[in-house]
Amino acid sequence: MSSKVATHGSPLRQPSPGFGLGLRTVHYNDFLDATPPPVDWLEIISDNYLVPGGKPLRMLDRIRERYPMAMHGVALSIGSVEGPDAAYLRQLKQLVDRVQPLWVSDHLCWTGVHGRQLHDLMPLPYTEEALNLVVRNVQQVQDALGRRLVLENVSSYVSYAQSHLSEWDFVAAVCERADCLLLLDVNNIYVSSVNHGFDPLAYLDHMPAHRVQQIHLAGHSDQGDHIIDTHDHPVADPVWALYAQACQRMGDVATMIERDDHIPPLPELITELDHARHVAATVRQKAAA
Amino acid sequence: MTTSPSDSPLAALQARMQAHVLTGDLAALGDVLQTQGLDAARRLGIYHHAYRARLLETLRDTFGHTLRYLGDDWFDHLAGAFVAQHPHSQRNLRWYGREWPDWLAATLVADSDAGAHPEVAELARLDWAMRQAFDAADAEVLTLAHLGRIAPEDWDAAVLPTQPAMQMLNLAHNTLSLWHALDQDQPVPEAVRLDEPMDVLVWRREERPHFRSVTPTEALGLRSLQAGQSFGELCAALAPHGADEAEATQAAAALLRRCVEDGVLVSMESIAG
Repeated sequence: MSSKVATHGSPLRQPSPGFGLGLRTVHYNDFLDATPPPVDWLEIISDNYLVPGGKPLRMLDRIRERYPMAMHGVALSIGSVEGPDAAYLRQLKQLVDRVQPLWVSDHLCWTGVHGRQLHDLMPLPYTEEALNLVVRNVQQVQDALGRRLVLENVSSYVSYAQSHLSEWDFVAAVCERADCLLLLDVNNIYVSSVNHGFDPLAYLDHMPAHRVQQIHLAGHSDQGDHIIDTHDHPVADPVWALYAQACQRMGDVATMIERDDHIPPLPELITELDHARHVAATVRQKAAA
Repeated sequence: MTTSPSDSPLAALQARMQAHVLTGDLAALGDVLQTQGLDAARRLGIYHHAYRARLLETLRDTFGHTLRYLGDDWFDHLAGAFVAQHPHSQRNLRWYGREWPDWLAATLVADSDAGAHPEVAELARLDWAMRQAFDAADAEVLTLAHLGRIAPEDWDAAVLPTQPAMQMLNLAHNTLSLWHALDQDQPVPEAVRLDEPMDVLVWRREERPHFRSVTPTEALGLRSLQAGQSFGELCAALAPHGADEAEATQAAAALLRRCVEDGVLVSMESIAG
């Protein structure tokens, strides 16, 4: 099965636009300020703008005039046995045409079947059957959008008895076989490594570096015997350490911080983003020395 | 090799997982490994809990005035029961809660534990209408200049569309007083039934949802405009029995003027486009 997406002669991933933040409504006015905040690019939650009209789309257009944007979805359900939803893809394509994003991403998961939506990122079993299904679905999406899809590894709380591949082998195989790109969520790797007891460095070692288009950083909530991926705290120290390891392996990759709850004033997030810049620069300097 | 999705192992696994998330069904227990000291039931429970918490949070966000009126405990109790009965079928959470006002109306009745509280459903209706108006489809607002371009002979058949955000509500209680008190952190008056039901117009102006109470005549005219009736039909709708034509035309013109001032009417082209 071949995809219409051009794969030969074009570089797999785009050059990094630098360090970004997730665009959240509480920061709209900051990003429209006369002095634009020092953020290289913004990531929008695509689904928040799949609405008929009104202020959200107007603010989106105004902020897009000032910043490059990546589109990040939460409802594609690429791992659903029912395949991609044609109506959703049409809506997404319209938003792509409007935003002209750097790239379009969603999650390597499923979000509901039989006409129900769970509004959660449900993990897949790491089986050959799931791999075949996801590859087929990704190719359909890439054909519909006319571009490579960027898929994010999710954090998870269950491991399925059916899985016979490791998560990292599954993720890498999806990327290679579907010819798509990867949004590496370093926090998710850490969260899952604690919840399932694997070595996060082994995960990083198996990632196809040439397909890593973007890195996510986020905070989590430590529950003692497990970690919940809540995006409501600053990035934790072990995740910063893992990010440095990712920078060593992946090189210069677009990095952004996701904060979805307890969202602080923008300057606080920019300070956190500066720390990401510092971590990446330190790794680069060491490599050059 | 393609596996039939409906009877594949993956389809069966997703169905079992989904059943757990939605209802707590435990058939998926056998699918989940017990590692790192966290048993399978607790692992599954994280998803079950997150689903309910997410939908509850959506209701709290959409129905802010209803929440303040009921208070956290009562709202969460009712919302929890609603969520358990109402899975969502749309990918976008924006649409979750459409049935909540009707559900409240059917739930908070005289023989319920809390007794009859019909004002709660009305508050929820207004919350929902305001949220829908916020991001309803855009359309170019009609101006007096637009109206000036309608030739005198074309007025009778002229159709003047209302904005997609416009909604008409009919409230039987002092719900607007409750709303304003909640808005301004004032003591909330006792809910009482009005002598006559009140019509309320909800619309969007300069990106913000608004509402105002309207007279029965205005309501008649607004509903006529919303139904896509022509100016001639609007005049006929407004003509009280035995009233002369000029009086009805005058009422219709006054309504149009107010609608234009409020930005309720939109240009024909913006609707067609």
